Amino acid sequence: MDKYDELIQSALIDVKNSKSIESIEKTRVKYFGKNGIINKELKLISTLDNDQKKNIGQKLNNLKLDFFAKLERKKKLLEKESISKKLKSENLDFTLPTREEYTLEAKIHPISHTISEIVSILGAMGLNYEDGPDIEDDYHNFSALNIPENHPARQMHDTFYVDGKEVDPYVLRTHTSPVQIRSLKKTNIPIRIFAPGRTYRCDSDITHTPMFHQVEGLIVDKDIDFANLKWFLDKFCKIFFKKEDLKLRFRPSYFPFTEPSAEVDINCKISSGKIFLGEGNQWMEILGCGMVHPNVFQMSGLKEKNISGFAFGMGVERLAMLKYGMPDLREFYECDLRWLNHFGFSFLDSTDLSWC
Amino acid sequence: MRFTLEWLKEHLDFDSSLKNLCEQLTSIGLEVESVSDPRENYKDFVVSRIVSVNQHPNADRLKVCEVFDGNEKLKIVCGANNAKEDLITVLAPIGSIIKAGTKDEFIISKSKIRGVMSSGMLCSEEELGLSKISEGIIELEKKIKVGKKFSEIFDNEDISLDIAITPNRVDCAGIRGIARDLSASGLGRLKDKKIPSFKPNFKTPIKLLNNLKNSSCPEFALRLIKNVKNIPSPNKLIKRFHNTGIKVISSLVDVTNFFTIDYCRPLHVFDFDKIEGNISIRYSNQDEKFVGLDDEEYTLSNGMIVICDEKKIISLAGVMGGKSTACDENTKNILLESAYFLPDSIASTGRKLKISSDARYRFERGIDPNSTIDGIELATEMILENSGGTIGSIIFDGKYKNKERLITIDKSFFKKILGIKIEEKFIEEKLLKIGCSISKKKDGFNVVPPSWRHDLKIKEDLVEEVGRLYGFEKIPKNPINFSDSQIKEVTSDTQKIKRQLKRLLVSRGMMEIISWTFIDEKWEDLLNDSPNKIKIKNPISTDLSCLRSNLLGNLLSALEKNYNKNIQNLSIFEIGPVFFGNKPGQQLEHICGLRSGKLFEKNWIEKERDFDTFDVKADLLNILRFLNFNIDSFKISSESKPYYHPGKSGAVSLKQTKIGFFGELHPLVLKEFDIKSSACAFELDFSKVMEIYKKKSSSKKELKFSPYQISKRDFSFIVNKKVFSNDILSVIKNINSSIIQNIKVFDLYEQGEFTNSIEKVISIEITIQSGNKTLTDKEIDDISNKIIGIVEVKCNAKLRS
Repeated sequence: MDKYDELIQSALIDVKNSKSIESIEKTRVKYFGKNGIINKELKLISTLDNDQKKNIGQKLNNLKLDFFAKLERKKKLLEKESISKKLKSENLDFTLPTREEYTLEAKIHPISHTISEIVSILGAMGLNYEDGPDIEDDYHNFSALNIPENHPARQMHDTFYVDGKEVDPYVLRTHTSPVQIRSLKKTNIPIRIFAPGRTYRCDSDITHTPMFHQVEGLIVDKDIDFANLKWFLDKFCKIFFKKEDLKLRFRPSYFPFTEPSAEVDINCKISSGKIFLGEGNQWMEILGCGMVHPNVFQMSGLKEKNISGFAFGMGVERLAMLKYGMPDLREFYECDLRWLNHFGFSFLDSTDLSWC
Repeated sequence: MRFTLEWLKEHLDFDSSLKNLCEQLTSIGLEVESVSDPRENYKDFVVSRIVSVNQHPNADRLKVCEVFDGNEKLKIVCGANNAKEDLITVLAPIGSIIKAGTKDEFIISKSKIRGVMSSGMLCSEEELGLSKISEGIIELEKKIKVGKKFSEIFDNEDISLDIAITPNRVDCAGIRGIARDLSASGLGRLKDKKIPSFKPNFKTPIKLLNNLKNSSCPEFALRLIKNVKNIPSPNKLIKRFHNTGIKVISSLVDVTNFFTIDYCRPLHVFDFDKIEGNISIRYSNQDEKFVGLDDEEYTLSNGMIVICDEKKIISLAGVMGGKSTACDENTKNILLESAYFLPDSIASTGRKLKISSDARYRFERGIDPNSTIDGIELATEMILENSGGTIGSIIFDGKYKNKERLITIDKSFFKKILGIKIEEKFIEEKLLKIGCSISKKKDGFNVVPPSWRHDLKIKEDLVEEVGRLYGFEKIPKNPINFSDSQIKEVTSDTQKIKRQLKRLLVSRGMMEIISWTFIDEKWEDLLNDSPNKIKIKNPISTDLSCLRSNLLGNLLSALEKNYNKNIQNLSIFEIGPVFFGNKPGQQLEHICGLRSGKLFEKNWIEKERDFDTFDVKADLLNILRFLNFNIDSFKISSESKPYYHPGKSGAVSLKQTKIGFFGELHPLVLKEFDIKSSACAFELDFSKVMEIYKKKSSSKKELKFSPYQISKRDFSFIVNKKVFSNDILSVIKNINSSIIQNIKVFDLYEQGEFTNSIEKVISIEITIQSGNKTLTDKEIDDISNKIIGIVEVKCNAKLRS
């Protein structure tokens, strides 16, 4: 055993005996630092004779490889031990509540959601979204819709009048039907539109609010007939209520701007105060519709002959209440956060037909 | 429109079930709203006879009755004063349900009452829901057989239906019309109606001048009937009126009300002895007074049809009779009136005076103009029967000339509108049955509608008649073949973005509300700085008296309402219309958000804090960022609205247009709303933003990254407190150096060792990078010095060393 063997032995023992990252680093410096013991010996190799040079050089290089391999292994082991020790001392009470995600408390208003659903369905059925103003003139709200002055249908409308014009005062639209007139005047045939929006009637009780929402629909083309109307609304209602076996009843009715006119009921079962749509043989009214009255075409200045069309109108609140079960109409506008949170919809709730 | 089954049977021969009848009515457009059938409710009750009545041993007010129910004798305790031997009354036996289906319902069980066992209950009318009379038990006629089910004593006069009449179908505001429609639909046969023709006993000794025979009153007829007795109407009629909700008055008045409902033929009776001189019909003058049968005094305006004697107005034609000539129990001689008034005139009078009456309802929708004389003769017959008397001649002035309404219709038109071919024979039969006269022509028909169907004017009306009698349910459902195949976007950009913004704000924790378009005038006064208040002429209440010019008022009301329900931390927003004028189209779409209270309630992990201006500023800026407006395209200034805190609010402009405001609300404004906490809001003129948005190009800028070294330098400037951080930022931006990539405020000291009381320290981090080389230290120092120099000069700042 020469001095090199002793050195080798002591270096490997030092690695083995290192108890921390710091001491192992010291060991490295001790042997292979700038002034390390073995480093010095390595520098001296060039002064040796050729025989020794080869022999000792090889020995020391082998040692170096072995030393560093062991050192790295030891270092990893010590690191692992030290992290394990550290982690053992770190404890989190993960049963504590999470940060408050107040964003999930906020909701889309059920009216917005329901209108979005209607937009998706009617859009997919080929109709375009039209807007109309809340303040209307007599022409658009009444006379162009074949409701002349003194017509008894005007009484049923409980119109709000806007201050400022004495003769033929402006009104808050009593229905979304004026959008029919606006579309007939500006669009070429074929016309396929729908118009959701705010409507107003001077009435307030359990089943009426002075403001409510309607959706109007109008389809005018060359050969539109009542059988088309039935098909269209049947499809719409089945998709909207997600009930393939929903039954519709078309009941003759009267609207000045359609002829023939009908009201549409859907079948339901009412049991212990709850409504089950698409079951049973009771009927629930949901919308009004009919074939566009020729006077409406005439009043809108439509010259085309041989055109026909149908129109429909429905109450958004009523549709929402039937689909989602809100018991009281008035609460839609009470702005009570608890109600909104309960009956509202997440911003992630898709109303896109492809996804719902 | 309510009627009894018996009443309908007077006009229509039929034997269908009540259920079928209702279904048929609804299917032809006469929607049945409710049915009252007492037979359903009284199956369990039994007609019984009281055999004996004895005093209850333990209670002064109670009696113990022995009752025979046709089968056995039962002992029943009863408190009614009218319980007496041999009284025929109604027994609720053990197990029957009183007031079934109501919240007061209870089941009769065998029970001891003050120590005496009672096997059932004797009922009052109130307990059976027949009337409000709760005093005493029901007394039935002696002839009713004991042991019968109580339900069996009801007849068709006790079964009533209520149907909804659409405004076009005034002919069905008469039982006759309903019967005719049913028969046309194939349910029953319309009975013949014989109109009597009485020979007068004398000439009606009065002169009649109808000044309006060529205008609003085409027909007017009168007949004097002498020596009548205005006694109560026969029981049968009283029962009918009772079951259909018609007020029973006196035999004479009841006759007129009967024909109003029966034949849709409003009539009127005057007390002849209260009439002074001859009768004339004219238009009213402005401010003439008239006292109606309802004891109300009405002030008339020009042009209402009035019927007058030589001294006074005796009737407001077609709307309401006058008090001064009303019949009473002493009336001996009457003048019976039947007339035809034009609908518009009656509608306008009724609307102006706000009078609703059965007569107005029918006249303004248009009764049968050919029924004037029929009405007089029919009423005469009934008056003679009920009140006696001798009759005078009919005098009349004016004769309505039927306008010939000829409708020509092609057979193919029915298919064109309904989408199904209907047999020619069917069409003909149905049109005949509703009263049309028809002559065939090549490929179609010439149709003259009956005088009582004013609603049949054009060929589409005839299609509806045939369609509804055919049955809408039998019309198939056919898909539409559109004449084009163009594809259009369903929604506009504005509509799409509006929906997205709702979702954006909800994702930021704001609850969407929808509030009234209306607002209280006092909030308009408080929040609207323009003098343009848009008022509603006929508001439903004072708190909904104006159209809103901004959304904030309603949001503050919502905050207050929630606060009172103990919801004190809230973030809400609305996207909706506001108004700047009273004409169609003078409206804009606004977005308004309101935050009040705490962002977080106290919790273990984060510091509790109130919502502040920077929360609502973030809401607003996020909307603009969502719309791809870059930070350099909008400007933030201090000119906000007076209802904001003057020092803690700002305005946002886009392309030199002011589009929005944000900040803390003025404490005095909150106080007006009774809000005790502070609140922050933002408002955005969505319509204006969209105008600017639409001018933007939708294509995106080129994307470039520099590969060269990024350096960051921090600077802290001491400035006067009134200097905005934004001022410093824009000064640096204006250096317009291509190597300044980003400027960020990262710290603010308002008090500390480096500042006095009017100063603050703003710390800024500048990101420096060149697009074409690695910058040298000198270049970075140069730009740093330039920044320091220019900020010190322009913002009167000092670099904190």
